[in-house]
Amino acid sequence: MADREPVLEFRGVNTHYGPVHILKDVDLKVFDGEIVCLLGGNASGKTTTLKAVLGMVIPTTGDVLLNGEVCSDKSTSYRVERGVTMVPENRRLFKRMTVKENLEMGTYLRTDKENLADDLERIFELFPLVKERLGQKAGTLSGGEQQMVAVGRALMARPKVLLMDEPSMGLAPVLVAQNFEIIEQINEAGTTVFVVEQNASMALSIADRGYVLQTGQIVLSGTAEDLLSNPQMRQAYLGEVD
Amino acid sequence: MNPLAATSQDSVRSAVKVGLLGGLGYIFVSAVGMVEGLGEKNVIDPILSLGYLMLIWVGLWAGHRAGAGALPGDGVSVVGRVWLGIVAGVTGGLLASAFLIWINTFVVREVFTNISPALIELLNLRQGLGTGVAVAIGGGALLGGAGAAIGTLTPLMRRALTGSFLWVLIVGFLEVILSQIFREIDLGVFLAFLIVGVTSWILLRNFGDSQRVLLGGLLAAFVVGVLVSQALSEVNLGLRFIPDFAYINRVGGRALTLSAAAIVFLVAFAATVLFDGRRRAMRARLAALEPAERQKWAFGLVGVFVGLGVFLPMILGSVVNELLSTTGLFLLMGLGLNIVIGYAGLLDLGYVAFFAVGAYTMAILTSTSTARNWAPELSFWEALPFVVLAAVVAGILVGTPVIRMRGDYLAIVTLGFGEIARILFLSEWFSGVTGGALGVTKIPPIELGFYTVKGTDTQAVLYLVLAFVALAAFVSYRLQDSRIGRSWMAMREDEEVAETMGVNIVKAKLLAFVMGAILAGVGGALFAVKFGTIFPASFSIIVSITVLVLIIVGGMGNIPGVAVGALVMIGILGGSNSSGLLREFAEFKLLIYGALMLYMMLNRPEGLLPSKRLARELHQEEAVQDAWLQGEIEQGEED
Repeated sequence: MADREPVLEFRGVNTHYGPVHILKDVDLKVFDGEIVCLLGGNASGKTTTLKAVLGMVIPTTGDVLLNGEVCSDKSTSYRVERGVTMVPENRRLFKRMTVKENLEMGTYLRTDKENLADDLERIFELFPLVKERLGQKAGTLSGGEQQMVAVGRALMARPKVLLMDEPSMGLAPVLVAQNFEIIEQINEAGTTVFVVEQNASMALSIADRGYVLQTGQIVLSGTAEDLLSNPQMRQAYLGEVD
Repeated sequence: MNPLAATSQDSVRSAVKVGLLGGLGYIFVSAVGMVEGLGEKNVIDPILSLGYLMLIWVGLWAGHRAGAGALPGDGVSVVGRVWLGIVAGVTGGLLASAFLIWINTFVVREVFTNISPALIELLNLRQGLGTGVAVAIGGGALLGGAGAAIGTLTPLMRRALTGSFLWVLIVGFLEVILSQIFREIDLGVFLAFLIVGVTSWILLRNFGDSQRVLLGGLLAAFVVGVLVSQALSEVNLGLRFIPDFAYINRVGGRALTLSAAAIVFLVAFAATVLFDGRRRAMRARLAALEPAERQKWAFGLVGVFVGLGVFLPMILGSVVNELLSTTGLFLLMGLGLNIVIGYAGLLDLGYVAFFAVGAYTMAILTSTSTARNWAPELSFWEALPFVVLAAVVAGILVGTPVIRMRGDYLAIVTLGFGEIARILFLSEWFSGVTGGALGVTKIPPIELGFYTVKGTDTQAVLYLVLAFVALAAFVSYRLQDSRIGRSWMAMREDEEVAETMGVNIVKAKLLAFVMGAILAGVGGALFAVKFGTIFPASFSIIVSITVLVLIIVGGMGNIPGVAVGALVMIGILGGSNSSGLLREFAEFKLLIYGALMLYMMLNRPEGLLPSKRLARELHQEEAVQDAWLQGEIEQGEED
């Protein structure tokens, strides 16, 4: 894997909110076609990491690279144009807009408007329910349906790298499992996925590799199997008691 | 037998409560000076003045509420309901009597300045305290009973009764417009309406699918209509006898005569009852229309308004034209603020700043007065691009510092900007250019080449304002579903997520501010030309508030809604420094604004003519909440 160029890379990234030091020398790499998960508890810096990828937080030192290009000081829209899209935590649909309008917002920066109908069909294949809800206000959907629309909205941007912020948050267990199946399907279709999760066992069950973030530092990293069998990991995140 | 025995104690108690509220209403309306201030204005001569109307309305309302307060399951009969209304009326009357005795016995004018001897006379019906008390209690009982009785009628009868009464009031209030129209209407305008109306009807029916034919045909009809109206403008239709019969001159303005009021009432009543079936059928047909078909008729409706805009100013006369051009100026600002608040969700309370910038730029560049140091004396059309440019700069200046602010913070900061603009124009520092407190005078009329639009030529000013309003409405309409419109909408919903979709928040916000600023700036430029002189005092914070209130009352995010809001707020009630059609209300304008806002927020938060989006949302949200309470959502989530 080392011979390949990473699509997303952090090189010694440090971020601050005012005087508070959030990310501390974070290094990570995501290669093309992988599912990589970033695990960590509350306030460990997971969401900040995603914001740094999208340029909504600018690192104080260190670099964020997309497809090998240093993007640390580039705007969010510049990065979105280069194939990064996020499914935000808690879905956060545009509640007063219809499902269709939500999906269309995903294509905001795309110039190839002639392919939109095909892409919409692809979303319907993945989530047949969404088709029935097209004209409905997004805010009136159930949590599970909203998750589908949120993923659909991100996919409409045809991302190279799909960022997912806590996809299991606030969903019933059945839906969480479904959701991770969908992530695998999306990945098989060629999209690189970077998942940020608290639910470590679930995330590691689909991921190729993982990083563990603790108070802003990467404390563990490795393949999913390694992490699953790591005793430290099992104790701290997988809920095992010796 | 006591007829109240059949009603539950709760109903009686609530009737007493409503009665006390009604009594407080009586006291309030009297003590703020409405009864006296509006007493001069007769709505129906000689029996009903506007002041008494307020009191009558309070009584009817209390009775209606008391009657409706009895729950359907209570087994309260019609008679029982009327009795409840009477109970409420008498309770209110007793409270009012206490008030009457108080103000008849003591002189309270030092504290309550509006409780004058004239008011006491009015409340006593000029017959002494005894009559006043008797009328308060007896009238209360009568009105309360009547209010409750109206509530027990069938919906159709109720609508016919209240609707017809409303029509009488409308005809009474619109005296200025109606007499003007009937006096001035000439064969030319009449034929022009006929030509345009019939042509557009035929076109819509037969060629509705081809926009080119439709537009071409309509344009031709309008040209013919204008020519006909000009050619035959001398032939009066001779309908002058109608207003001469219907209205009579009185001290407080012309009032409807009793016989005319009766005719209006009977006609409206008969029409409501007779055409009820047809009205329902029309509604059903309208609801069943295909979207494409509906759009066609919406297009027709726009045509009707264009027709009214083209031909009505010819016969409305200077008073109404003046009123309408002020309404138009505020509508222009309303459309601009609608972009900023309705589309982009940025609560801007300093909107008057842009209006002031537009007015001052136009005034400074065109004024021919020699009182100031710098006067380039451009023409209107030469100055207009600079007005737009100044508005753009002002929009960016206000927008840039508040880019990362939201909601309340944004509102407070923009509020400050509004005041800063006014104080800058007022300051001695710039007085060489802006004239300081003296303002800018001698702003020249607009040269159109074939015609000179003077500020005093109300008809020409109205046409000019309407042209700009039409342009602004068209731009707003096209923006709504455009890419930039969508990005504003997404930004309004969730700024951060919109950003992750690639929306450039800084650009989108600045563009919203700039678009709003341009519309307000152009409005300001027209304002300057219309009045010929501008002073800093015309640009106080109340202008911002008026514009905000008008888009809330009308329906935020919806262009026709903004128009309705402007008509109601500016045309009828009167704007910040102009009086409306109901000039009697001018003194109580702010009170009415407040009451209207309160009522709208409680009962119709989506506005009088809401955008479909907002209405759906507000009502859907309610439905969702209800469903959630019934546990339906959880079920939906599991399948």
